[in-house]
Amino acid sequence: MKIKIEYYGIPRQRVGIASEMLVFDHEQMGIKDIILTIARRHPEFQKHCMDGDEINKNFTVNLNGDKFYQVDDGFAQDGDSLLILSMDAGG
Amino acid sequence: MSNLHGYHGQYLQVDVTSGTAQPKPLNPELLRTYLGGSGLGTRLLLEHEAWKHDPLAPESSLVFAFSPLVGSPLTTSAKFAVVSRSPLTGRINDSLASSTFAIAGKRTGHDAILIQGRAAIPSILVIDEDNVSLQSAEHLWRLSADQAETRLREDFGKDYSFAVIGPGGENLVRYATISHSGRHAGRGGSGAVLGSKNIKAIAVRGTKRTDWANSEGLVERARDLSKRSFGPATEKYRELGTAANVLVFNRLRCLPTRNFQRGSFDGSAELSPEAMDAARDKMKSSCAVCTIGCTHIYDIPLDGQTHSTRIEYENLFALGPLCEVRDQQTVLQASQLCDHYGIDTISTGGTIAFAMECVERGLLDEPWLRFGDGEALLKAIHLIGQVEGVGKQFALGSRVLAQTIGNDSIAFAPQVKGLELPGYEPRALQTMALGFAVGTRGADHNRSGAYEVDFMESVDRRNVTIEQARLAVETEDKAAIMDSMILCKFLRGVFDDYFAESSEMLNLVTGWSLTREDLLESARSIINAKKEFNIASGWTPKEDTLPSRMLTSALDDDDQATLNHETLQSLIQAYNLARGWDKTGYLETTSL
Repeated sequence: MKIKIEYYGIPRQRVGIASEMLVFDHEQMGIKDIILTIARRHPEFQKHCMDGDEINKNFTVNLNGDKFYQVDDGFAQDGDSLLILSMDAGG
Repeated sequence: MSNLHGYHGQYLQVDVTSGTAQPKPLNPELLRTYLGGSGLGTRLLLEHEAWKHDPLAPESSLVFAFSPLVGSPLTTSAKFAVVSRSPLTGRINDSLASSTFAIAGKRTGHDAILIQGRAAIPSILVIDEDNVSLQSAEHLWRLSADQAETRLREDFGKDYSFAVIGPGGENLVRYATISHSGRHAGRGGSGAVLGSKNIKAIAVRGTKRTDWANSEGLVERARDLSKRSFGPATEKYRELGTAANVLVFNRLRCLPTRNFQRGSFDGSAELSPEAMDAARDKMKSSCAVCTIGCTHIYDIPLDGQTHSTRIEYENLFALGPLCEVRDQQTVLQASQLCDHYGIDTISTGGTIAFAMECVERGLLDEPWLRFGDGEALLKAIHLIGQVEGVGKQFALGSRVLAQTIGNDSIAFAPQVKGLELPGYEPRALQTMALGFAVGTRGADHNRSGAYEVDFMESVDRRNVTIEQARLAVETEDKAAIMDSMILCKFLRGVFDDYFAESSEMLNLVTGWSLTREDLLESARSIINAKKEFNIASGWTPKEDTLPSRMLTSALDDDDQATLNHETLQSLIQAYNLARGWDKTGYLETTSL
């Protein structure tokens, strides 16, 4: 399956790209596992946006522009988009 | 001399009609409850019965309120609040800003400065500790706040700090700002209140410092807070600024576009901080006594000169997507023009976007004013700042403009209680919708941080339940304390337990023994005081709502983003009960 990863704000600064397509040999995959894959691919993401195996509390993950994931896990399927962004939306 | 720590124990009451002033004592118990800033300012307005008067009448009161933390080494503490009855809403208005004006103002020996009356000619109010005088400001009239401040610095010297209005304030634009060192007390029209008093500028100077109850502990706490302020919780603000919201909000379809008809804008990439960084030189800066450094300044050409323009998300949203203007340079120029005239960018953009839709619908005969037309946007801002032509109506805000136009245009005037909505689409962020509807100063993202609730994983932001009302109350409580003690909201992410840590900071300064529960009680008292002011000034429950189009139509680009009157009313009722008010929003008891 293919998952589009979209980076916004600080995650984009750290990873250096706006988006990328990741291909997995599964029909669906846990969001936490996808985040770990991203952290392995991008050492700067691991360094700045992760606390060990968890995404840092200053960042959040959103599936397809709908549901946010911070602590709970969810599943992504082929064609989904995973957004990684700063937790703080203050303007 | 006060025996309080962190306070002088008095405020200065100035009558600019006669040019006289009197220090007035402040009750320590009042300070312990209302702290400073917004809380203290609101309490003083209640005591002076400011709800009785037209905000632009000589009898009206305008308060500059400092805080116990001003002058301390705590990062972001050089802040003050300007509090008055708003000429835009008729309700309470408190605007905050940062600069050395807070430090110099407090060093005059007063915890607040309350201004009443009307000077006979355009004047500078000079407060040099206990010596108060008026000087002619006729040579400064019609200058921008920035130009006037430069002249004032030359004339008065570096010991003084200044709060200044631009032509918008002089011309009583109902959403005029008060500016100082490039920062603005922006929302609700406090600049018009000062302009109505014929005061172009306030110059303050002083040497009176307050002491701290535990200086050693305070310095240690300040070091720790500064260190934390360099961490990941604030890096979005440092590296990209609030403008980073543009792309995120666009992707989530909560970026207000085309006068709140859509939640996304196909020109958003051009307005992102990444695109601006690539296209032009940028300088970073910070407020006085701030270690975050969120200010991102770009050079832009305008009227044959190069200007430095500070960019924030709210400027970009209001002058870009909301008016469907996609040209980066035009949006930056529009922001610079708002600063030049000293007018609020959110209300300016909101009013113009509303007018653009009225033109499109054939309700307003100004055919040049079209969505997407950058030149029309700049022309409209000039007309507002100079209060010429149709700018005379635009200068009154979208609510009054809708009342003039009629034809039920009020249904899509983007305002609550007369204050134009900031850049959070209510149908896509429905806890924020509640925060907008019940906000004491109108639709506002600084007095309610309810959008944070909408970003929680436990919340469906397009289908909120009454459980979220309690969370909306919590974000308001937090904001009430931040705005009264006063610290910058961009610090909020660095605290594990905001109320506990804030009470500790206040205790180090004041010697009190406040607990987190005491501060929560203070937050409730502050918000009750604002509500009390509003009720006295004529508030009724029907004001707590949103523009009716938002309650009857989905967003054009997101059919899941719908909200109806019944849902909003049930949220409001839950909010009112969570606040300890009756279900319609009236206080059970009042102090009046």
